[in-house]
Amino acid sequence: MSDPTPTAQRSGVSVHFRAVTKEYGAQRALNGLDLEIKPGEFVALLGPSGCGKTTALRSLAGLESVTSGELLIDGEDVTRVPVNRRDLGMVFQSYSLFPNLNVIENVEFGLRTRKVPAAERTARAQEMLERVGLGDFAERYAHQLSGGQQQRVALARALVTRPRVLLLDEPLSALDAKVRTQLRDEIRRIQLDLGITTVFVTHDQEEALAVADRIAVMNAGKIDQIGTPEELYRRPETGFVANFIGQSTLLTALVHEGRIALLGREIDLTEPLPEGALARVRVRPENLALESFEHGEGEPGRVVTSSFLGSLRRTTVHLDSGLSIVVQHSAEDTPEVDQQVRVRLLQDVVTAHVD
Amino acid sequence: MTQTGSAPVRRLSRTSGGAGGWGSAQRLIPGLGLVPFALYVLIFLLIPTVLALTTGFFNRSGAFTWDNIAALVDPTVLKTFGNSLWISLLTAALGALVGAIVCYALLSFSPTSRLRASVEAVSSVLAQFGGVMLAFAFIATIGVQGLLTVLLKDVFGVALYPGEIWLYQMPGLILPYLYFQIPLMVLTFMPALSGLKPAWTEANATLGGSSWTFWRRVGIPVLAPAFAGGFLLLFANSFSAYATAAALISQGSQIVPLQIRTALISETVLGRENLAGALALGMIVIMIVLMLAYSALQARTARWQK
Repeated sequence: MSDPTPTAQRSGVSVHFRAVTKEYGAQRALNGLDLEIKPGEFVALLGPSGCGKTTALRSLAGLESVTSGELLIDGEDVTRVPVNRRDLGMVFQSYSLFPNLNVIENVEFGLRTRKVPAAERTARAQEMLERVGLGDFAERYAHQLSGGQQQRVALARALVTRPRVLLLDEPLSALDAKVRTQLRDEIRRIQLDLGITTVFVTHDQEEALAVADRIAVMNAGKIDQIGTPEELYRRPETGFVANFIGQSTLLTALVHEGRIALLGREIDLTEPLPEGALARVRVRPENLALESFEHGEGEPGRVVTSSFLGSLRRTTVHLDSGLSIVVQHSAEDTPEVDQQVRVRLLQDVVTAHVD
Repeated sequence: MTQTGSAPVRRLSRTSGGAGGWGSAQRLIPGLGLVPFALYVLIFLLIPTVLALTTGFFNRSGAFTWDNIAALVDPTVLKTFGNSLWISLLTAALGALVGAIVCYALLSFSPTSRLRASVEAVSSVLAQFGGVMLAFAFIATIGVQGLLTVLLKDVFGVALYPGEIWLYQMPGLILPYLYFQIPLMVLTFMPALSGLKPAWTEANATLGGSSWTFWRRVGIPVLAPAFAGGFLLLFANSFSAYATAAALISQGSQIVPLQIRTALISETVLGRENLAGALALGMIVIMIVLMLAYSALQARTARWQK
């Protein structure tokens, strides 16, 4: 295979999943998946274990054959194209550096298969190593590197061939928290630098929210909702998405004269619901306030737990109505376990659904 | 203040000294379990080896001599070493190759699959199934009056022995030796092959490599030390095998272990018992050369192995 762009970095290409289905015997891992990714876009596939996100990525890579549907890269149907001819870069969860090759040989691997001349190969590999901050590690072997360093090498190896699309299969899962955050930001910086279309599989909503242009929340082999991080967080369209993105508590109330009573307050609805319907509202911890039992407003309850999160605290309150609710508040307020408090809703208007 | 400051130092000094001595003793206690094994190795391996080696340098009356060592270059002895080398190299190479192929075939099955578990269990039995029992099994099956020999002749008119009866000569050792060499390779090589990570083949493919690229640049280099180690084990196994050959080969001492027997007990070469020591020395030298070659390979791969 010859290198398609030997001199210039190409911009991103589009990726389409069209009604992609993947079955393992009686089990359907992908259930008519439709997804359109724009050139240069960074899309995260987010969802719990078994939702089909990794299968979708591996299908796009060609590591899994699809049962039906089409996969298009830059408008070209690659559904039946072998994995080694799809011109993609992939980073795996388990690093997967070749142990018998040193760092620069690992990075050069894809260039060798493309028969890039030795001098250019070394120069490009070294340049990519500099880009991931490992310019001085060229002669080391995988076992001489930390997990974060190994994953940087894997990223350099995947990018050095200037692939059409970069696929990231939970690349940060095996790293400790600090390295994970650093590498996450580096991946995003490099992706923006190169303008490469990127598909990022993760089960960590914080990762997805931090780096993706758009997030596709997957459930049972298809996409429940796709949107920007803000859209998903602020306007989840399904209970599954609301539950998966951020923390929230489901409250119910009867609609009366276009309003509902929540936590001791009468609240307006963004969209009208039928009179007498049982409205369901998801309330996020930051939309609630913890108030004094004696002098405050809201529904009374008792503190169950309270966690210190730096500048904030999250306190779980067991309301007298029997519901448990999580409230986010200033770390300066330090409620004690079993203390009587009140929980108040900070919003004047909420979006409610009726099942 | 002074007391407070100095007290921990005294405590630390006393504690560390006491704990260190007792700690060392405690660490040695589990090691006592090795004593019976160490004694066994000393009495039945190390001492006989030293005796075997040193006897080659002495005559019957105990005087130092080079005669036995000089006998190693005797054409008959050289031919015997040649026979031992080729049968060992051939069966080790065939055993290693076929065993590796069997392992590769087994790799497509889950480690918990019944087939894989059965093959591994059978291999662990067959790898130990050498000696007289094995020779008898071959004689009963493909000997002159063996079951298969007679069947082939009566039913298909095929003569297994149109000329010489090769089973009782050097070539006849190949099949019986492979019978235990292949399972031994399966046992030793399977763990290494299982250690190849699927993610490596996937990374190779996403980087544009073919299956051949993977094996040439990653798979074979990663497996080379384990394959070489298996080959060396098979060579040593074959090189030192005695009972199977002794039961099958009735005429002459065509391999070194049989020559050692002859030197020890034959009436026709009486007075050459110490030649056995020299022959053993020759065997050890050959094994050392092979182990040095293996060490050189290990040294090459050590830089990327943990």
